Amino acid sequence: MAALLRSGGGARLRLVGGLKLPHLHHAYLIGGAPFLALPEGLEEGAFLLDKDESNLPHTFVATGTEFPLGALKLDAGHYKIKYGPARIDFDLVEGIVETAGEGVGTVETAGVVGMHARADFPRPLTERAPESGQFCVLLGPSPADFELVHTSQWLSDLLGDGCLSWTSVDAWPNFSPVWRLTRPLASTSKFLARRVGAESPQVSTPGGRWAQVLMQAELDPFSETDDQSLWDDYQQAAKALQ
Amino acid sequence: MSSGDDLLMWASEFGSGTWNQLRDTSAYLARVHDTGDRPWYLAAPLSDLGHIDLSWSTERWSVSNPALVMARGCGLCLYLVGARPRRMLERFQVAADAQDVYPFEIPQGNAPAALFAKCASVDSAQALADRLGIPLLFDPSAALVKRVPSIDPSGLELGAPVPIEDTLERFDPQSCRWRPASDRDQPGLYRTDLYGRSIFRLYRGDQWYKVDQSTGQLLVLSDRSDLLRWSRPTADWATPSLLEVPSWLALPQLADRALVAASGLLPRRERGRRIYRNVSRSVATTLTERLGLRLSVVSDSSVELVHSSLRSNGG
Repeated sequence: MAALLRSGGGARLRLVGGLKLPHLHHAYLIGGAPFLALPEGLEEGAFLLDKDESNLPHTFVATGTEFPLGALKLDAGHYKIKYGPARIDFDLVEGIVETAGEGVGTVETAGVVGMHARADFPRPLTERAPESGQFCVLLGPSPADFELVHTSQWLSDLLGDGCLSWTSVDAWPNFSPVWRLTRPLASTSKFLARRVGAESPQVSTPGGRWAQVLMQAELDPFSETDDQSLWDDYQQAAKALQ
Repeated sequence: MSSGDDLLMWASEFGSGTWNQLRDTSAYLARVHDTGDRPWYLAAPLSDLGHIDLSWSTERWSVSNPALVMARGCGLCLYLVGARPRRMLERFQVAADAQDVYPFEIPQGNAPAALFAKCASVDSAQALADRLGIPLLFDPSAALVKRVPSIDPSGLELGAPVPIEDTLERFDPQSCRWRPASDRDQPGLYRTDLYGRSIFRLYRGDQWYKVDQSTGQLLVLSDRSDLLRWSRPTADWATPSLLEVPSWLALPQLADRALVAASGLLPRRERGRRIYRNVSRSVATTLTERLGLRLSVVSDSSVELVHSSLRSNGG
């Protein structure tokens, strides 16, 4: 691969490779300075590098016909290189564009640009995160309305120090939750149910896990008195589906 | 900064260009970072991560507009996709300097680091996107997987027979390996090296078709159930749901991107497999159908412990 980039020298100085910016003469991103290609066959490897016309050039010595200017860790500015009678200059800049360069989004992958796939997905809800070691479920009025809520412990572990913790998380139910059920992970005790919505149960489909979880749950003793009758309706609906 | 970070910053400034420009810049970065990576290995992850789009038919690429992504089940941790010029990175740091936002990054080897912002709520995520002046995308994994083209043998383009070269190989669907081939009489997928680039041809029903590696492999492996394996998250979510794909199996570009979009992270590579994280069963099922394969669901006893108590009659 290096062979692709090697200039092979020539009669004058050349800049090879680098993170070159478009439409500008010899402008490169900081950290992407090019290689300086010196004329081949000359034994003298010393050249002068001057920044912003300061006339205080530094001398560097190339050991071959190419010198990696990136190794000098140059900061932003206008640079001029002198090698005998030959001259070449270049700029190092932090960047030009605010958001993206010319032609952004003009190529598609199977009709999609980046991750901008047009779709009509509902916004998630912000939901209180389950406490550590807890299992949490949201239930809606219909037996299809079942959504697990969880923290993304794996993402925290990925950082190596488990430094992430959550007080709230995303939940993506396609229904309005009525009950939030929790219980310790390793426990076989009953789920504790708290009301978070007001809709009555609508049961016309098989109950499945919706009914199963409701049957394994009891109303939080600290719930409002009014919650009891709605809870009874859900219990009755779940029982009918079992 | 990794070579991938540098390449993304350059691509963001450049905006669009030819494959030759991207290849030469990748080669330069492989040299200065001393990674030894071939240009394709540096450029492909940028496409998988949704930063750039690459067209092989036109040999052009362009960077995509920046966006914040809220993936399903990532605990309100958004990641930044698309163009990342230096100014966007600076604006991201400033915009994320708020009480309800915690920025962090996950290095990805030579590929660009994944930049995250953990938000306190969906509203604070939207506010962060508004401060940056970029869109907030919800669950693009589910949206992208629906756009993955189905593998359809009726839509193939006829091509000339594959030339018999020393480099001719045929894909053996039993061993899932490329085997040297001295003739081209058997139906199947062939590849050979032409001017330094692999070309693929499918011989099927006495006709030769031009295919890419992914389409060819998926057609000769059609209906297999032992290739894509999905497993549930563990009960404590210390391990997310996973989709495992054999390393030798090429997926369409958009399929790779849909799987990466589920977490914002490139797949782990272990035991000859690519392991995509946080892929929902729904996305895995849709993708498998589109690829003409069948999904295998792995049972894990530690996972089953919790899920069994919730399993309905119908699953």
